[in-house]
Amino acid sequence: MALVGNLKDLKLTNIVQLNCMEKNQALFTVEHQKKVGKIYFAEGNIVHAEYAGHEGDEAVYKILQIKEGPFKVENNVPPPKRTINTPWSNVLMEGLRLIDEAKEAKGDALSKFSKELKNINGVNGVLIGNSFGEILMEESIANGKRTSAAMAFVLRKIEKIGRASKSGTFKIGFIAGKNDKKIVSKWSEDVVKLIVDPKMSSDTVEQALERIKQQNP
Amino acid sequence: MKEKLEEITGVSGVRTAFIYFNDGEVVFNSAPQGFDKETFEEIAKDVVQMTAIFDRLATPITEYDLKFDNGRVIAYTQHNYTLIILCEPGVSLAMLRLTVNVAIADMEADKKFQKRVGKIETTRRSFLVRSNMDPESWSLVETVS
Repeated sequence: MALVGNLKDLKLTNIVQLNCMEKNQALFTVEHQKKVGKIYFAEGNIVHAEYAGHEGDEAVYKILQIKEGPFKVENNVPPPKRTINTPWSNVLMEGLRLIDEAKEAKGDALSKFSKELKNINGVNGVLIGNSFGEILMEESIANGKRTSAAMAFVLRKIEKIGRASKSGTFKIGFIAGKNDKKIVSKWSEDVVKLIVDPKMSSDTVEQALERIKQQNP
Repeated sequence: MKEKLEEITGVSGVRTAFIYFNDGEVVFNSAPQGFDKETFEEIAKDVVQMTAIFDRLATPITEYDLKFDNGRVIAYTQHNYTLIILCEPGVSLAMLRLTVNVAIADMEADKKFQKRVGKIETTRRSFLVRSNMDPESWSLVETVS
């Protein structure tokens, strides 16, 4: 009988440790953003992995970055081949090291990006959040946690509207309230929200935002 | 109402326009190919849900201008209804705003329209319920609440 669950409830590192220490022959499968990741265990180690066109150690490193998604572990599934010869603990350590390194680099990039956005004339507040509603960076934003969740929700709705109206890929949104104007955009997979002076020209801010996004890919 | 929608659709760059009342009625003249009442309803519900989320943040919204690479969606939110306009990317916003402002003013001055809108008891808040959305979206709504 397969073990099933979600990576938001049970970490992959725990699953790897369990299967390796018990010397299981097993297949771990996870679904994420319409892609399937696979890790094969045998003889107390990870012996093969596949994900998004990658194989071997690289595939494990990529799968380690997945924070949420349904998974299953099936016993007695032989690996199709052997592409990993590194001990499992070393694979995990390297994978986690790469994640930390990427987080630090992203943190620096975010900080720079956020400062440049705040410097746009007319911008009074900046919030950058991920698609789960977590704050990545904020400056001069009230109720940051709730606002970040709201913006992630709004972006999901906007993208749905884009599909239903056959308008294509979302670029930028201007959302006007009684007292302020908000600009919503995407930066890679994250959501960018700017609070803008209502008197500010939307075109001016849009051009500045696009320029800064291009300089900070 | 339909004449006002006709005036809005007459602006260069506008593909279609429709009104969604919070009690579920959709008013439109004719749907372009590939669109139907259900599609308009789907789009409108998403707009109302966004507006309701902003209500929860105590930052009420009056207008959306959403740019996509193949189109533009503009929405004007009122208390009990939303006017939604699907446009080409290069629509003249200045001309559209002028036409929309006049159309909304005319509609809201009309006693039949006032009576229609006055009958609506469904609030925007009631669109933010678990049964109306996927689990990830609901989780975000719960964080905002």
